[in-house]
This record gives sequence, structure tokens and C-alpha cells, in this order.
Amino acid sequence: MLARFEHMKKYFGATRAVDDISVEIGAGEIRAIVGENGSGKSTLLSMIAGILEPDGGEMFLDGQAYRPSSQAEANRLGVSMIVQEISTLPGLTVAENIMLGREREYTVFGIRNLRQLNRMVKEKLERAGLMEIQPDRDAAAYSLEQRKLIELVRAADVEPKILMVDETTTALSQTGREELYKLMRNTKARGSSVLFISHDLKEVLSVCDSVTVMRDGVLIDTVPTEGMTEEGLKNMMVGRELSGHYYREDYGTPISDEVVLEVKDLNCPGRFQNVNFQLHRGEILGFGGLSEAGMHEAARAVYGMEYDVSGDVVINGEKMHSVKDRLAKKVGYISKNRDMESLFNQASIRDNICITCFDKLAPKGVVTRRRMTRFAKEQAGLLQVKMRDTGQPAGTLSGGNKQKVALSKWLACDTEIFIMDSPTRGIDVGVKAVIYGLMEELKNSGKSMIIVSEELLELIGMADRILIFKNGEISGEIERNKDLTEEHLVQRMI
Amino acid sequence: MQNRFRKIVESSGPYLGLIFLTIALTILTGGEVIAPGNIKLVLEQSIILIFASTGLIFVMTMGMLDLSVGANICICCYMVAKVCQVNIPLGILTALLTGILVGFLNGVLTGRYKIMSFLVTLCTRYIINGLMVPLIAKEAVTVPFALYSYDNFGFKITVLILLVGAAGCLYMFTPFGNRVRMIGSNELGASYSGVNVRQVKIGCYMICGAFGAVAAFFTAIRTGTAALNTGSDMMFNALIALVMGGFPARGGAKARFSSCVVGGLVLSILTNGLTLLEMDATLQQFLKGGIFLLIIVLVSEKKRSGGGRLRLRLRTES
Repeated sequence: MLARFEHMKKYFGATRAVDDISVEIGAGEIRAIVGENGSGKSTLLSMIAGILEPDGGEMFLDGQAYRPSSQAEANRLGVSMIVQEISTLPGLTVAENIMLGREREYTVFGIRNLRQLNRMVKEKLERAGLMEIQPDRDAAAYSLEQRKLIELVRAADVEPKILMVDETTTALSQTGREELYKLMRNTKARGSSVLFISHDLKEVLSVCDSVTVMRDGVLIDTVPTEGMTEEGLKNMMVGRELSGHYYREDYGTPISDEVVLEVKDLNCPGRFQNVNFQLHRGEILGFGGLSEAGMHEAARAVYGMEYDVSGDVVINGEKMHSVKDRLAKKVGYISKNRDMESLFNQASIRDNICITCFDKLAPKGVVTRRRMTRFAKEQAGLLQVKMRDTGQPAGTLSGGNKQKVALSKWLACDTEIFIMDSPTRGIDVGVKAVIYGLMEELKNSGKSMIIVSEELLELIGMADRILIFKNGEISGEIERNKDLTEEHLVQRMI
Repeated sequence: MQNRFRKIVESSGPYLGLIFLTIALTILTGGEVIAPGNIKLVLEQSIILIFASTGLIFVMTMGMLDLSVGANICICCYMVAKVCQVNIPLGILTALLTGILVGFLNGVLTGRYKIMSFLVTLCTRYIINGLMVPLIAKEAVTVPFALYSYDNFGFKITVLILLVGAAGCLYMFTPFGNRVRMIGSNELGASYSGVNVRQVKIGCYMICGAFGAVAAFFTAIRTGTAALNTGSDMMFNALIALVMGGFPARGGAKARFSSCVVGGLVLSILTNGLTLLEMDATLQQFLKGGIFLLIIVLVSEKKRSGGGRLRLRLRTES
């Protein structure tokens, strides 16, 4: 046995994020931790990584008491974590990022030997198969995925005893995932252990040796992955039998001829070219592709938030010039980057929901807090946001509930055309089901949607039509049908 | 423990401070502070400060700064003194327009050209000062005699209640006020939610400029002259007043409008009390600067971030 965590506790006010959890991890074990949003997985890992201080409990590493006072100390003791968010520091070069905290290794007589540093890091990158990354360039110059890979190289380089990976795969494409799995397997081969948080149960079952299931801050069970099924895990996570109904089940439903949104020759140098499509009333249009294929940028351009865009976006026959025009036409955009672009984390849920609805709330230009509270409560109730009251800061909600708030912001102002970028990214099955149900409901009431997603199954399950992006261009269009598989889409993506 | 302490400081701290300060100064000065004549004096002194910080609160809620408040008061004061010699309403109008124009410039530079507010307003401050040098460096302009009729307490208080009340309503009960707070909370998020960030920024700076002009008018009739150093202490005083009133230093959703009134009163009582105690003016500045830093340290959010690796945001759940 490598590590033992006993009676771990962490409370945030009245919320018991982690409530008396005891886990053991064996040497050379890849352990998955699964659970719905808000079940306390990240909190548990944060305590082990020295980011959060436990409110109770004891930790042992290699039989010794282990109490890290900071993340740096945890690193020194052989515990490192790859967090959900990007944590490379912009402004430092790739090499400096990888060697962060270990400057001594390339310092000679108090002077940093940059040539030696770059040579060292170049070797490490080559060993990891990342030839295209230059050690002496600013880390910010690389894409989200590449920066995540840089973090992986850093994590692998310190050869930790416990490597923790918090929901990283959502930011990675297939190749990136392979890199991550390789790193995890190498760690295992060294006799060290991996703690792995993921919402992708298929991935969990194929990569991990055993699974610990958590629910509402409590440990449910730890089971070997062998002989376990996705269904079984889902049921353990949710604590009740889930019905098979998850995605849409209708096929061949006719779509209205009415075009609500038309995009003509949308171009943006370096990001996407010649994007043309029509969105019909009551249609769910999917955008699929690799993360760098230009689909996220194209969706943002449709909303008018991308720079240097040429071409036309026409809604109900009118040409759009600004975001304001689109709002007047009832377009809503849900960003992939929830915390930065969708939500006001320090503001209350009330303020978050009301921000789009002042036309409705303040027809005479005046609005009282009471009216806002009532309105927000009503809207949050529709999606069953788990909250104390509407005055609670949005930042204290779990990922899934944050997304519900982001959605209700646009639902509340009677949006007709939704542009959703990765609407279920990093969200557990329970909330996912709510969101899929909502999409179907919206479709049936005649609203139109553009859904950008890197999860192909989601597109196959929900979209009426899928546009595949490849190298910034639309490389294929696929109609909804029963026999569609991931393979069909992947062929056009690569 | 520390958390709870911070919460108390944040919510009722300013009021407790006001009461504590009044009691302490009453004891120290042997009751002089709460003599009726002195209370009136304190209120009168606080009026200009409250006007300036009311304007500033809009800008600071967005997480931005205005260092040109003092310079703006200086130039508006000059307009009042100069133009009122011709026609009093015209003079007031000119001053108001000047203040709004200064605010508009600040707003356009920060909102349209996205330059840091601290740099922009520092520059406008020096530009305005530079403009004023040839006009009033040699000789201060005297305010026409007719204006002194406005220097009565009832008039001042009425204008204060009306204007600050209006600003309070704008801040608390209108979509505009809400948008200001949301920009302070997450500017990028606000623009994705369809808030016209540029417009709101320009609007806030114009409000700030207009309130600067009002403060300038009352400065003019109080001091009787427009000189180079008119309003020069206002930039820092308005800032301290807000912080003493419990204003979060980085603005945002937790900002309360009451900060500008409460803070203005607290600072005025403090200044008045220290003057009664015959404390040297330089020493007073030293003390105010110290208090400012102390409050900022007490209410600042202490984040625990682990050593070398930076994790910007700690989630509380999941």
C-alpha cells in the first residue's frame, strides 16, 4: 500500500464537501474517482495536493504521516496534480514552465543558464513526442491543448509517487488523451499511483484498475473496473436506476423550411474559412471536429464576438452588425469557458440570471431587488438549480449547477436562437440529462440551436444535422440517422 | 475566525467605525467634536467630499480608478469663478459641461481604446494641471461676490440630498447600476451577456466628471478662489472615503452605494477631530495613508495558493 487517507473532512459553511472519507491506494494502481458534480471529488484531491487544508482526518504516504502545508511542499514530497484549469504561466517560456520550482538544476553560480535549460527541455519534449513545441517560446503562444500537454510533461518529469489528474481529458483531443494515458501507464510501471477524475465513464473503465465512487461528499464504494459496466457505475453515482433515455430518440422528424439564421462566406484569417450554412426553425445543428478545427471560433463569430471576421450573418432576413443586433433578434451564446465568459462568480445567482433580462424586468427603467429575486427564483427553479437562495454567489456552485445558471440566463430572456459551445463540458450525467431534455423541449417549442461539441456521441444523439470542421473549413455535412457512429464523423475530421 | 471577522468588517464595519470614531474623538477633545456648531461644520466639510466620492463610486465599482478627480475639480472651479463673472447660470453650466467632457475623455480612452484607467486618468490629471498653469499660476481667480449667497447650509444640504439620492437610485434600482456592478465582477462575462461595456464605462466616467463639477462649484463658493492647488487633495481623499465606507478595493458585485456617504462622513469627522486636536496637517496625511492601508489589508481576501504553482481559483465544491 502506498497511501492511506483516513476520515478526511472538508466543510464550506454548511456544505459538507467531503464528509468523513477514508481511502487506500496501492502502489502501481490507477484509481479513478467518479461522482456527480458537487460530490466532492475535486475537493478531496485538492486536500491531497496541499491546495486546500482539511478540516479533519489524517493522511499517510509510504507509511509516514503526510501533511503538506502548500502545493509546493506536496510536490516535494512526491504528490503532483494536473488541475482542470490551465495552469501554465503565460509570459514564461515553455522551458521555464516545465522547470518551474526547479531553477537550481540549470543555475550555475547564481546565473540561469538558458541554453542548458532549453536543451534539457527540448530533450524532454522530444521524448514525449511533442516535436512541434519550442522550449524557448512563450507558453501563451500555444493552444489550450498544447499547454495542457506541457503540463503533462512537467508532471511526468518530477516522477511523482502520486499523480493526480483532475478532469483533464475534456480539454484534450484523442492524441492528447493518448499522451495522458501513456504518462499514466508509465507512472504505474514505476510503481507509483495515479488518481484520476473523469466524467467519461468509458475512459475510466478502459484506463483504470479500480474505481472509487463518491456521492454528496460521502464514499459509496471502491470496486475493480474488471467486470464493471458504465450502467453500473452510473447507477452507483446517482444512487438510483437511471432510465435508458438520455439522448433524443426520434428520427426522421421533418424540419421546418423556415431559415432563421444564415451564414454566408464567413472568414477569419488563421481560424476558419468559407463557412456557409443555414439554420432552420426548430433545428439542432451540431458543429463537430477537433478542438483546433475552428468550430469554436466560428460559433463565436456567429454571435459577433470574434475579431477580423468578414462575411455575413443574416437573421430573419436582416444583416447583423454587432452583438447588440443579435440580442435584439434573441440570440444567446453559452461559452465553453464557463467561469471566464458566462458567469459572474462573485456576484449572486440573482444578478447572474437577471443581467440579460432588464428589458423585461425594468420596462420603466427601474428595478427593485425584490422583483429581481422573485424572477431569478422562478427561473432557477425551472432548471432545479441546487442552491441556498438566489443571493448565493454563483462561484460557490458546482460545475453542473453553474451551467444551469448560465443556461437560465438565456432562457429567461426568451432566446430564440441558442449558440451553445460545449454545453455539457465537465458535467456529470445527472445534469447532462437535464440539459439534453431541455434541448429537446426547446426544439419542440420551435427554438433553434447551434451546438458545438467535441463529444461526438452527444452530437450524434442530439443534432438534426452535423457540420464537421477540419482545418478551419466545413469538411462534411451529416444528416441525423439511426446508424450514425463515431467512426463516420472521425473519418471526416482527420 | 478570520473569515467571520472579515465579514463583520465588511458589513457593519463602516458604521461601527463612525460610532467608535465619534466617541473616541469626543473623549479626546473633551466634547468639542459633538458641539452643535462643530457638527454643522463637519457636515459642511463633508459635502464636497461626498459629491466627489459619489462620482468616483461608479468608476471604482467597475474596478477602475479616476486619479483626475482633483484636477477636474480644479478646472471646473476655474470655470465657475471665471464665467460666473459674466452670468451665474452660464457659469454653472460651463463648469458642468467641462466636468462631463473630462469624464467623457477618460471614458473614451479607457472604454474605446482599452487603456488602463490608472494610466489614462493619471495623464489627464497632468494635462489638466498643465492647462491650468498659464491661467492661474501667477494669480488665483476670485469668485464673484454674488455667488456667496449660495453658501448657505440649507441650500447645500438640499442639493446634496437631491443629487446623491438620484445617483443612489441610478446605482441601486436601474439596469445601468446593475451593469456597472456586473462589469466590476467580470468584464468579459458582461460583454458576452450582451452588456455594452464601452458605453457603460463612458457613462460612468461622465457621471464621475459631472459630480466633480458639482464638487467644484461648492469648493468655489466655500474657498472663494480658484487656485492651482484647488482640489489637489481630493483625489486621495475621495478614495480613502470610499474605502473607509466599506468599499471593496477592487469594486465588483459586493460594492454598496452607502460607502460614499458613510465614508465621506467618517473621513470628515476624522479630519475635523484631528484638527481640533491640533495635529499637524502633514502628520494627518501620514495617519490617513496608514489607515487606508490598514483597512485594505484587513478586508482583502486572503487566498491560499500553493507555492510555485499557481492556481488562480479555488472551487468550493465538486
